[in-house]
Amino acid sequence: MVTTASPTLQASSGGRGRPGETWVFVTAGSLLTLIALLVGVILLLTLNGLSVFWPHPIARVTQNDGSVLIGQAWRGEAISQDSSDTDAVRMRTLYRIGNRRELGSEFQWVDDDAVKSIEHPPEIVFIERLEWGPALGTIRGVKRAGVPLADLAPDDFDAFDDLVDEARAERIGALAPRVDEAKLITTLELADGRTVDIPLAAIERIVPANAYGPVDRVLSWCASFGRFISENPRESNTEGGILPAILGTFLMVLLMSLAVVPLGVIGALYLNEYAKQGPLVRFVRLAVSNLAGVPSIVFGMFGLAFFVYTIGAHVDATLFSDKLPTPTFGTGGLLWASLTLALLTVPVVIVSTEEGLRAVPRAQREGSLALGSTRWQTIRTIVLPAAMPGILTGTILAIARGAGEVAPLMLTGVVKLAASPLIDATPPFLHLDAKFMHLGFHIYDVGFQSPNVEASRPIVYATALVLLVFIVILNLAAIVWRNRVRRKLQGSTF
Amino acid sequence: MTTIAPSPPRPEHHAFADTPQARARIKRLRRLDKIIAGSITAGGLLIILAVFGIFAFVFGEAVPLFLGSSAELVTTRSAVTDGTKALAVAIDEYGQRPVLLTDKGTLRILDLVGGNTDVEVALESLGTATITSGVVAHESPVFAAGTSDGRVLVAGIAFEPRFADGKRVGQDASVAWQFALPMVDGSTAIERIAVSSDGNRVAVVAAANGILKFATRRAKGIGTSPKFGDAAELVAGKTITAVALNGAADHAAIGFADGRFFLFDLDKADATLKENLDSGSASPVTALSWVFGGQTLLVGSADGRVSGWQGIRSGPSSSRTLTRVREFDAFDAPVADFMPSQRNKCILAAARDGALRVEHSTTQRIISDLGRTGSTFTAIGYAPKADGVVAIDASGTLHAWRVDADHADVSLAALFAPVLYESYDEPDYVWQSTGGSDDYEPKYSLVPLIFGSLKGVLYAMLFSAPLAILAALYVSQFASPKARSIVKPTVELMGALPSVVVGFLAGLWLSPAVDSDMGHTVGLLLALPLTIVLAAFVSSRLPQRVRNRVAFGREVLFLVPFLAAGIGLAWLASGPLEQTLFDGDLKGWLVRTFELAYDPRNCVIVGIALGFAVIPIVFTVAEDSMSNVPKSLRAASEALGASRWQTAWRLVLPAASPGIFAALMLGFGRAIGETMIVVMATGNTPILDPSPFNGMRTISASIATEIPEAPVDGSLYRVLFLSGSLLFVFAFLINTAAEVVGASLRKRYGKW
Repeated sequence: MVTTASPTLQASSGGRGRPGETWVFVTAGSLLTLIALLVGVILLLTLNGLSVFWPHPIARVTQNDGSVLIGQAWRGEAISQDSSDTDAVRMRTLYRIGNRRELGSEFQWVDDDAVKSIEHPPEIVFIERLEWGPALGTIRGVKRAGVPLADLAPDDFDAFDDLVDEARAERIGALAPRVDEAKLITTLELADGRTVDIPLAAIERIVPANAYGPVDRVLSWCASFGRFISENPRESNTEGGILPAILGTFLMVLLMSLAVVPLGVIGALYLNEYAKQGPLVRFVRLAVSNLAGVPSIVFGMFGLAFFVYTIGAHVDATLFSDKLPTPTFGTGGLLWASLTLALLTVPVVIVSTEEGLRAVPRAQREGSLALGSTRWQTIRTIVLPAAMPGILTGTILAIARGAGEVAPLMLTGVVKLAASPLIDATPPFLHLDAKFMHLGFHIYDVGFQSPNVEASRPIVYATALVLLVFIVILNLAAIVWRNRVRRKLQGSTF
Repeated sequence: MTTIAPSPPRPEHHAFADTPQARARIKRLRRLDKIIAGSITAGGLLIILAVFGIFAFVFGEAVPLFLGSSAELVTTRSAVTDGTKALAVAIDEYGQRPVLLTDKGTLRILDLVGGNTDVEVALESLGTATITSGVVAHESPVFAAGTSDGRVLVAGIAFEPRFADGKRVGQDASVAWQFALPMVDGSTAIERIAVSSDGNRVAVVAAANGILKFATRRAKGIGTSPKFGDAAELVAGKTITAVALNGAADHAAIGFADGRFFLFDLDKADATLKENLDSGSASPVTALSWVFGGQTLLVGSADGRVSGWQGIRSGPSSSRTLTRVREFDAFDAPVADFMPSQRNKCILAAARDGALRVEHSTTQRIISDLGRTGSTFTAIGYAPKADGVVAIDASGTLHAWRVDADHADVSLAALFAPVLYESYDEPDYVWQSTGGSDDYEPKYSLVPLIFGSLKGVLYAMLFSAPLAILAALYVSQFASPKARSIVKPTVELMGALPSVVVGFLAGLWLSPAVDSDMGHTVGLLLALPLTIVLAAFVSSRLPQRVRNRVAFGREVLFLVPFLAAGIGLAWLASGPLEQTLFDGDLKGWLVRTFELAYDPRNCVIVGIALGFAVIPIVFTVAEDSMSNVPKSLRAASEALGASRWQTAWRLVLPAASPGIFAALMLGFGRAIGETMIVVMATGNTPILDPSPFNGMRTISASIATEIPEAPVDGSLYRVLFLSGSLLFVFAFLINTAAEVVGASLRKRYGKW
């Protein structure tokens, strides 16, 4: 490295006489910008993703005109100004006031100048409901079969939680009973003094965010996050969890790996061990590595035309003809998506495995052959074990690439809301023909095609964070593994 | 891999012992070795073939676009008219039972497939009159026959499929209703006639001895009393040689013997003359018809010329006037008749000499030349599904062709050259693959998509290439090895960030943030270089010893406080600055001053987001190539007194330039195929506008959003596969170029 040149050189040639020092700073600035971009993106995702589950304080905002609203501050922005008023930047704040059913809209802008007072009374709660989004207000008692429960303080949240758990039994499937049919009903007072009755069975959770201490907040955060990754989505994906998307991503990646590893290893074994080395194999190798640079959408098109419309249609015609014209495999599904991604990632595995195979010292092979082993015995007992790290690195890189790809899936079987689970108790238990949900597609769908973009944005951030963590872990594993292998091989070459 | 563990040695089978067991074992092992060698070779070849098969398959899906159309004569049947002349023919959607209107005043229902004998139904109320002309409506099987006593007899045909066990076993055809319209007085024969009908409402235009009459009537139910209109004085003194009605029955075209034709507006109570036009030929106008959709009027003349006319606005405020915009290949004989398809923009055109062609209006091509049979076709029909054509010649022979013109709307010119589409005023590159109605004219110009892809890549490279290459230069030349070992994996990790996450941040965070606060954005962008220059200046003023300690080799760390301060200052200052300089509205100022259309999801956003995705690959490859410039060269340069920047700029960069080129190529290839980022961060509007403040639509985004809905094997499906093949070829070429250049670098320095 030139930079670690001897101090005498630095001393003699340093100073103002060294031309181009400013440019060195420009290159350093480029690197810094690049790092700042990456760090910024990761911070942005992490902070936004993690704060989704934080029990944000609920404000009771009294405005100058006397109107009152209850809501969580969502975001603020400067009001674009008229040319007349130029001295100060006026701000306004968006509050999530919830109560979509009662108030018509879930969000409300409040001019910061128009605010008289903001309080955070502890008895105000945030209620997560099965339908109509959250409800915000003060609980004014609970009725059991029409009779008010007398011994219930408005801030006795443990008792409320017990009642919510009890009411869960009233649900029919995932549906809550109507107000006039429910046994347990709570009365909620809204900001404007109106009261509404909500069946307790329709309540998922009561979050008295203002009454929480720091420990409660952390616990609430954990509970929310746990529910996010373990529940099904609700309200056309704008609420609830992402469990089916996690499962879909996992299963798809698993099937893809099952397909891609043997394919890649056999391909690499052929290229490196069996094929006669020459211009043709060199060309094939070049083409295979170039294939890794072919746009993923092209693989998606291939998957659609070949797997879905050609193979799938034939499978349907021979095996599932009784179900036609409803397609079984003649439409996108888990199997076709996995195979498409396997083709997309097979060059990664081939290249990486070949690298591993090439790194096996010649002496070891020759030793094995000299002892009378057959070629296959040599490969099985000497070459493959030594190349294992390369194979595994390739696999992990393939998984990391496959897990983050979305475009080919949009053509081969991903859906916004899976109609049936991928794994269930009816044979064949794993439904290869089923359409599935995917974390990456979930981000696109909820973020860009959701009916309620503002309210679902936190879900997008949280989903993106989950996907990011998944992929970063896989990549870090691959990088660490590769570095270890390189060190090992460097040690063994001399 | 379950068999990787070395098997423990088995003492009972000593490899060297020459026992029968050992020999058998060796034989077995050799056999196994051969089997495995064979299967791996087969498997490997298969995998490699499959990998190449992908391209063949994708490309193969697009090939039928260029195979052209085919027409095959499937049936000929002579003497279908029983000695009379066929005036018009209507076909059911299976092409099984053509119905002929004969000049004897009968409707003959044939059966081309089943064994039913022909049925002949006489037109009611013909009486003693004779038939003087006859036509069929284009949109539905409704015949109109003009009589010698000035009436028009209208008959509607009902086609009904016959089912047994849920399967279609035959086709029934019957005359559903008939009525007569007295058009002119009883002594004048109807000479020319046109009819249009949606199956219930019937509109007729009839010309007789210099009189032009219009009539509308419902076929059945209430409101069956006809309404008549008259335009006699408008055509007085002219010889009417052709008449046509459009599908909506609100316009009629009348052709004259002097080569002129009129366009009538029938919407008002009285027919009004809208346009008086010269067909461009002095010979009589012999055939007129609208192409499906009613936007293009075809005019055929006695000299065999066929032209297409559509409403064109000459200026932005003027109204549309019918203009001749298309000229088809001329026939050798007078044009006899047109029959438009009711599925697409194809038309069947017949000439008096027996020539018969299928032509496509948008692409202005002859799709099939059905050849001459020697005898003039007196009745021609287009199958409702546009998959067949029927024609009866003067000798009473019926010919039926199966026509495969699924991709008639796609030609090389339609894909890559400007095309004049219906309701456009000039030829244009348009990508608009689907529309709201059946008569929509698909527009498949790939030019806006290719332009969009290149535009996105251009802005991405503008953003990422300088950043990535300069950063690579720093890491390879000026940073400490330890910094390098941290930075390289970090940037690689950046490459693993799923593009859907980058796209989502660009579309939902960056784009609204920049849109709502452009002042701060621009402030930050300006502060960045200023701060760097300032830091370099400060560093150069530091005492030598201090500088070597805090700055040399640690420029990045040295820059951090400067940059932090610069960003903070820029953030604070840009608000007031924007206020004073641009009246607090930089975006508005930009839009007004440069007359830009500002789209929040624009190319700057896409450039940053795509650039973000491209930076890792450019950085990694460029850094590798710079690090591999031999140390001896650099040492020599420094020994000759060059500064480290001079060494980097004059020596390392040129030496590593093939590698940098390869890096840029790889980045280019990565950016051009990227899908999710462009889907999410652009407005996806296919426009040809280089402005950075506009969106675009790329090839990949079009594929991703349109192919799931495209009908399999339809034109759109295949055009998208063609664009996918283009992407494939492009990416493959770029990667190969990068690889070849990289190999040359390896050769130059012996290793990489």
